[in-house]
Amino acid sequence: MKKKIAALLAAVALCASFTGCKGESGKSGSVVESSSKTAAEKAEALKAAVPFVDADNNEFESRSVTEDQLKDTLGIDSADVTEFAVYICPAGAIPDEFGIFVAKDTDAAKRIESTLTKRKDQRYDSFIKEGYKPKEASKFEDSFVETNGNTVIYAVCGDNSKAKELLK
Amino acid sequence: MSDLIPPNRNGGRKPSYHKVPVKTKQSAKSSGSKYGMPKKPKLPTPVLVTNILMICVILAICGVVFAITYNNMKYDKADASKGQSSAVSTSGIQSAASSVPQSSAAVQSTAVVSTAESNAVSENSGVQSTPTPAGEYDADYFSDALFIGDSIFTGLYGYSYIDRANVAAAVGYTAYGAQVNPFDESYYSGSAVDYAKSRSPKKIIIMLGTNGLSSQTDMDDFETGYRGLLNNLKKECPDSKICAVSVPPITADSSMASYSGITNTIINSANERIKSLCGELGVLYYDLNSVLKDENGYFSKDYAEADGMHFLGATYPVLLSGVQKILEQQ
Repeated sequence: MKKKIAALLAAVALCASFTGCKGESGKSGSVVESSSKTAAEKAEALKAAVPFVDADNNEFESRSVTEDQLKDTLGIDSADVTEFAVYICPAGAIPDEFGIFVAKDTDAAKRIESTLTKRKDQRYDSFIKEGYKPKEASKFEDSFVETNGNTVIYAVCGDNSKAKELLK
Repeated sequence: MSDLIPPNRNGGRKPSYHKVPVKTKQSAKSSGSKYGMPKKPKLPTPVLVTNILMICVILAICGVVFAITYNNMKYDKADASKGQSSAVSTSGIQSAASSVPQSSAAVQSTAVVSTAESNAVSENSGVQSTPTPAGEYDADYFSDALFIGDSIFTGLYGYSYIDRANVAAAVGYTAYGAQVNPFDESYYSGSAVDYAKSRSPKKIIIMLGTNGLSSQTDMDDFETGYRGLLNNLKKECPDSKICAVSVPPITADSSMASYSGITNTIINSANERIKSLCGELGVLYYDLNSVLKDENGYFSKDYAEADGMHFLGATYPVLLSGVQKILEQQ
């Protein structure tokens, strides 16, 4: 009987230790699922996974866009956004950039999607169509701007499928 | 009979036996070892249970401590990166090593930014710069300026040195394009000259020429395009001080240059034309090209991005410092 009690208590204690590993409300740690990550966490993961590299394998700096820069840099009104994370190539040397936006409502999400689509098309014209860096054309082939509910994601980078996977 | 029985080693005496303990079933089981190891005392059951419980409790505590520590580390890291990207401006003397490339301090502040002790690291390129020449400038000095340029000048707001509204620059922009093509349709529908006219800036800084320069370039055509831009700006913004910045050099192994066919010899020829033109039209000229070159005449890797043509973030204060000095001399 005593052995059984001891074994039972040991099992309970072990379960308690594993519960501790889960962390606070499941916000972080190894058990956190992708969908529960913040926009910043998703974008940072993508930044680490897909660096900004040109067709000649030169790696460029990426830089996050702040709320103050959102309107001037991307043309997006910060009032439309409740959460966002965007990385650009500040040197202007390559077309690489990606981001995730959580809009305040579906109308705002539509505006953001429209603005990003227009921006992506303009950058295609500048970098590829007008011959500035045609070697970067492949980055536009499977680039995307996608909206799911109030969330808008977009990417033009060296691995757009990976970007979609990590931003979703 | 005695012959048949061998004598004992002790001389036929009754053999003496060492006293050997008799192994009972109980003693054999509890001895612990057949090699004569000492017998281990058996732990009483309550003690055993207590030990197990203590181990379990320690494990549980370790789990909780690990989880809390891990969470704290993670949030600290997130806060640090958030802080970097939304750095708040400060006044006073700053080192560009701390403000470049992440800080947006230069834009809103009245700071005098210096690269004199710069040891900036480009986060992703892995290029580490050596100390750069002094690059002090007053960010407020450029609040009434307009910068007209190509992709290199987009870095002025990309790196948050100059407010977006003070920059009319576009990827692939040329001196001719600045007169007729929009630099960013989503921002302003007209050309850079139109934008200059609408803003009437007190200072106009131009750095154009890299795009379109190649071994095929007709330098007369190049000069014509540049002359047109300067004349247009003088006409539309008669009260503005205009400063033309030389075309920057390229590195010895610039991948971008090898693609476009541009060389430092071609750049030098173009800069001679620009300098001459500035003298003729009464426009200021700043020879940034010479400042950015290394001892072999190439774009110093301390200043160049990975493609050997664009600027690192730490290079912009050098540009701004030089331009401010030139403009202040007038």
